[in-house]
Amino acid sequence: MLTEIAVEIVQALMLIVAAPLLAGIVSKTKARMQGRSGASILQPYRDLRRLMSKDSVYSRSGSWFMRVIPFLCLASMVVLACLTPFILTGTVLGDYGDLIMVVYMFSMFRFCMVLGGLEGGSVFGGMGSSREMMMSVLIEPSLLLSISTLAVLTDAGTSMSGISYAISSSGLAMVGPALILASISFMVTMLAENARVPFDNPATHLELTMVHEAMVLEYSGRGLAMMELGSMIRLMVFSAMLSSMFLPWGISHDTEPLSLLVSVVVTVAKILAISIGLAAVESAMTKSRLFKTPNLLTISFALSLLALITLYIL
Amino acid sequence: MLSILDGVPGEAYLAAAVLIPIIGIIPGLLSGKGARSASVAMCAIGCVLGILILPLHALGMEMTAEFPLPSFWGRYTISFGTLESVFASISSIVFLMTVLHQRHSGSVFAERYPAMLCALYAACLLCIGSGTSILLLVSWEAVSMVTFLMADNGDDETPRWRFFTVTHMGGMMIIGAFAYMWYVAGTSDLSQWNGLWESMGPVGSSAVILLLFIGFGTKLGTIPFHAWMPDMYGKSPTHTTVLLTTVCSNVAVLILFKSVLVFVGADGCGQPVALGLCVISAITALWGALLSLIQTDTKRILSYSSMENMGLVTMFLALTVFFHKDVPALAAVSLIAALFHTLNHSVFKALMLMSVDTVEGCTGERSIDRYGGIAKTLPVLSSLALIGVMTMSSIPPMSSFASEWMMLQSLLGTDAIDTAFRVVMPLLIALMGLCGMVVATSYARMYGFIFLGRPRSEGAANPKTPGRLSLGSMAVLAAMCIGMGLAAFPIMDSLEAGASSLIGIDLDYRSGLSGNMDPLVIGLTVVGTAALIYGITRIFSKRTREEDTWGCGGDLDERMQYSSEGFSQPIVRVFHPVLGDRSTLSSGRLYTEFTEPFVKYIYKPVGDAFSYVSVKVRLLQTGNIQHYLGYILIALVAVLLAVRLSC
Repeated sequence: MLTEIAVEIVQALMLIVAAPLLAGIVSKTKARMQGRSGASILQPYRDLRRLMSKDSVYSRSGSWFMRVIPFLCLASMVVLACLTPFILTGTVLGDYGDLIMVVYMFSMFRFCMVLGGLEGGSVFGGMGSSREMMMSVLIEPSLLLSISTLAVLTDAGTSMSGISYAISSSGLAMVGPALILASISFMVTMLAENARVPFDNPATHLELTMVHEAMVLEYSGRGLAMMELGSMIRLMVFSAMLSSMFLPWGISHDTEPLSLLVSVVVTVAKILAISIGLAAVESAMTKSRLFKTPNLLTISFALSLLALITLYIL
Repeated sequence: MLSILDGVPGEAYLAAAVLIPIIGIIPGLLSGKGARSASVAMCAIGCVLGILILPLHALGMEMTAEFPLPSFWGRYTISFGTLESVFASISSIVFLMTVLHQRHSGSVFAERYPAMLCALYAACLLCIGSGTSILLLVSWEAVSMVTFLMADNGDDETPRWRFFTVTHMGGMMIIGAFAYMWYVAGTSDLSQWNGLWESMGPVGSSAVILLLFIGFGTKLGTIPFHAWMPDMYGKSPTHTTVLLTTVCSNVAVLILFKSVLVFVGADGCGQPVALGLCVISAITALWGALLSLIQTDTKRILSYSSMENMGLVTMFLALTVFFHKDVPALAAVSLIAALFHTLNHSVFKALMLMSVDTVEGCTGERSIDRYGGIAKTLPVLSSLALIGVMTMSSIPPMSSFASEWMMLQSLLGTDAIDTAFRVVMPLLIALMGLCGMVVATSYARMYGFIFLGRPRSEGAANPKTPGRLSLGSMAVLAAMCIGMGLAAFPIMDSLEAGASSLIGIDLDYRSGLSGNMDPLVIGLTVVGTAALIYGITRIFSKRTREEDTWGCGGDLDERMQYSSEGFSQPIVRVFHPVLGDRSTLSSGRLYTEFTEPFVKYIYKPVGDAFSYVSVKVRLLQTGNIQHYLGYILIALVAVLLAVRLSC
């Protein structure tokens, strides 16, 4: 029991601490693929430290809520990081890791960020918020459907640990059209939700293309640092969900040192593979026009709907 | 459970709760400020007595009373079980807060408003507790009539007459359904009505359930009967809207639940009928969500949001009927979700309508495009509204998050259903996600453009300070939004106990849940973590300063910010094929026009057809007595022939 709690806390800390590293690896890989040498993979840590040590400037139009938003956003993601199974399908904290709740926590993050975008009364913030909401309207159904597929497929209910356990312990028995379709849909959702190419370009500050960056434009100093860290953790949580629920093989079911070691190695490999895949997608594709993104999201929606329907029909 | 009042008769208590507001009608009808205040006070006393029904019931008091009125139709009794007590108490709290808020709001009221408040409260309380069918029908009709009277805005009469027509169409369906059930049951005592489907047969009971759903649906805004809703909600005095959409909806859902699942019995309804009702409700929810996004009048935004919420509630009531045979545990989950969501809706919707009313009163503006920056000048009001908006958007750990979580839970275990209909369930899950996000957008837009940004008009720049009483009543509702979320499971347990004892089978919703969630834990953890992060960041720099919003090097004026129409434009563009909106650009401003297709394609042609027929029929009315004698002769001959031929 105690070791389990300890391991779960360690895995949560790993998720939080490694989140900027993941962002660093992705941008480094991207730079390499594009023939640049790129910044060090530790650059996000340096950025965060620099922002943290700066003074904060707030908009005169902003209300008290604007100052609370970064704390709420970061806190919601930290809580999610604690509940996501990563190297262990734990049952102590993991028991509260309910998938529907996770989806609503992502909505909370998004909702706060969108309100934050409207706080300053700048045109950029409004535009970013508006675009973010348009995408999230289309993301939410496919996110719900792809995770519902897992719940129905495994019969393990909506607990993340339970699903992870069920799929990984059944070998390849559950690999089928449903799981594959749901995974593809989840990957598309992950790109959209985390403001990656082709939905948004995290590296740009050109007003025509901004979505996520436009919403956090009015933050500075530690507020911006927290928003950035929150977004990084969100990417990490999504990667962890992908690796430990859709491709959970190798994850440890108990706190035996050997299986934990195997789990750490396998999971790190999976996360690395995901980050390289992410970089490859970002290098191979361009950011699509805003009103082209619904097409892609609808495809993701159709895939996840098919995934769940195949379960009901087959 | 403490039961110190075990077996104490509550007859006098209930009589007081009902009669005090009824007596309060009399001073309310008189002119004079003192008389009207007395009327309001009596209504408030009635509300307080109503609130205490739940605690007294929980302590064991017998909540039944009989009114000694001689009647051909049977007795007039009221009785409050656990479920009725929960509904009565929460509705009474909302009612009381509305009455208090109304005292100091800037809205203009009709002369006899206090009298109507008293009448509406008494009617609602009687309807919730009614123990006989005659009392139920009379009080339901009274609710409709009083809300019609209260909707008098002294200006545009069309919305309330439209409401009158539609709601009476629904009333006729309800009376028809009840008359048939009455005939089958042979008694007007509702406690004897249980599982009437056995005597009605499958066709009869399906028809009754259909009538009930549509009849109450007219009040709840089920398509295509929602046509009265936006105008009525938008143009009536706000407090009429509050009571209509919260307390009256609570009553409607409670009676709908009781008549479908208790009186008729879920077994009586065929699965295709239930699924059909479910699909209609689902379309209602989606339609309400999409339309709330394009409104510019804040009260219309909220009225379409009521449509969405009530669509979800009727959808899950229909699903309860649908699941009933195959998976009783899921039926219990969806039933409790629907009932709990109804209560949550009444609290957060009242809070939001009152905030909007207060904002209107303080700024003197009505359009969402004329507000802005009120969070800076009225921080308390905006914080209360923020809680309301977060609850409406189902942000954890607010109350509606718990009910939506339950709704999704009930859709997830459906692979146990053994019919082909289960392929609809993924669509419903998608619908929940879509609706949830569209309304979240709509509420973010509403909050963002009223309270955030920079003021867009003089009134919004220098708002008046709202009264303490109105803020206080809203604070109670805001506290309930959070409290009902944190205490979601205890409340749902008591709803379950109440519903179980009414239906007569032991519901067990917890066995139908496939996940583990506790809003209390989530709330405390998120807030705790945020506090921890705050503590950590204190180590780093502490200095903050305020500057103007970055304006690309220039000064920003009040028009140089995003507009609410622009905010919803991307989604409107995505859903353009469904919405059929038309945008025109003139003198540098974009106008989006929108026509309700239900009005255009259903109501308008039907109305035109009636007018056409009426004009033609009028030709018969020549005013010539010989023609009329001729008609009588023709009618007589026709009747005689018919009699002769049939014998």
